[in-house]
Amino acid sequence: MSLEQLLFLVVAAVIVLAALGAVFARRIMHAALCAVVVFTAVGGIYAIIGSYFIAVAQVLIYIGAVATVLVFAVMLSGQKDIAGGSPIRRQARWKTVLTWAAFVVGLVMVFQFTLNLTVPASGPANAPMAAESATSLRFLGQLLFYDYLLPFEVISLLLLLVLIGAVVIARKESDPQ
Amino acid sequence: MVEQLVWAAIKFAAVLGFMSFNAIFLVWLERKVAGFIQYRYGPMVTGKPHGWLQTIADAVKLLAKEDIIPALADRKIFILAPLVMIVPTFLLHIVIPFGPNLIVKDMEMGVLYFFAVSGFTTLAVVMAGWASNNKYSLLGAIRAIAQLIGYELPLIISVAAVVLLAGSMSTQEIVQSQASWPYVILQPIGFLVFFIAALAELNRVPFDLLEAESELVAGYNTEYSGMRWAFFFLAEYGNLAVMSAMIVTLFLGGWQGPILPPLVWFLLKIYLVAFVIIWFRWTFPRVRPDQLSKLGWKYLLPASLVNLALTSLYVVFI
Repeated sequence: MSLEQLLFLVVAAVIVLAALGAVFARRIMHAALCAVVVFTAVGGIYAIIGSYFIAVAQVLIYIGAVATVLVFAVMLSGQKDIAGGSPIRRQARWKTVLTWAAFVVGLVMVFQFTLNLTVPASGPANAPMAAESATSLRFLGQLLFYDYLLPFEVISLLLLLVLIGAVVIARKESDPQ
Repeated sequence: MVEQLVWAAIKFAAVLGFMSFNAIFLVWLERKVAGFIQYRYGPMVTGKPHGWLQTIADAVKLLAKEDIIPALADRKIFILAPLVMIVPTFLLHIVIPFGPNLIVKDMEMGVLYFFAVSGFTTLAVVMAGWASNNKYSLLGAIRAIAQLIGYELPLIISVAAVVLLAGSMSTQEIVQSQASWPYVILQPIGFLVFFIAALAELNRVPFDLLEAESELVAGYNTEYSGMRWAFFFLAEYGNLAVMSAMIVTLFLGGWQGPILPPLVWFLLKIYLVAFVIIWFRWTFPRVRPDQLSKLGWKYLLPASLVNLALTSLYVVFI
């Protein structure tokens, strides 16, 4: 077993344990922080397979933005679960498990499907995909801003729409503006 | 393999040494500057050789102090929060170029790495504030989120302009591209925005609302004592040094300079920037929360976006 494989196994174990923790934790704050561990460890997986840019972007977005907002939402949701007492009832937990199991199975099927679709990739920039250039920043930039410019812009437009939508929904009705 | 491990150990020790030195040196500097600016006699008199002994006595006191965890605190998160604060501070030192060959690891996306890792600070502050189960700590944590998210955007966008000019995100290449002109001359707006936003990210006066003594006791770290509090303190001054280093790297030409060796130039510039930040603390009053949000969202963010647009036009057409 090589060093990478060993590292991968350790990080994967951390991900699985933290994900279970996120589902079963009795306090919402613990669940949120377990999710943060999952986000960070997934960044670790990207680093192990050598795509450092994705690893850094994962940490930048998931820790800098998603985790912070997640924890903030939990903080605003009230102090009741600080002093003990579980907000999640026992039978509800089984429903959670079943829902997540269904979700994971669905996700695996989607992955399998897309893998079948894209493995014989005949993308426009497939030729210079040498081992080191595939992960280089310049190459990624070329891909994003030349070959896949339209999908990239559509995604950013979608994010902008979500942002505006969130502002519209969050604004109070009585606001005179 | 063995050689690699030895080098890794040396680099680890060097970063750890630099961080500990900074914590002690910058606290001393802060006290002396405060002493000069506000006629505080204490720092001039105690600890005879220029107040050196006082800082060392403080460090020993912190290590020996009783460690208190409040009864109703969330123990696990309470214990974890100082570590989440200090480990990223340590990791931030990796991409700081101290000289042409003096860098732990020159990453291709060094600048991006820097701002990604510094995102953990917000999380640590929130964890500490929430786990303490204290209203002042919680208020400090809530303020932290509003402040740190609001100022992270102008910070990163003003860096994007520098990255455009340099054509690279590697800290070493950014320094090399400033051989003729430092970016503070080519990017005056970007520099100002970055400097102000950096002050807010560091929770330094005039943006120290997280731990506003007059309103929140000590903000998010009110309940911490002894060694755990020392971790927050160490991280705070470590972040001050490392952010000064980033300002120097991005805008002030890094280790470049005539006659003196690169390392000396770099350290001189770092401590000059740190001195200016400390100087601000003892001359400016604290902003109000509404002023803070207004400055961040209405002035700094548009300014950084205009700066980025102008820089893009310059790079494309000239």
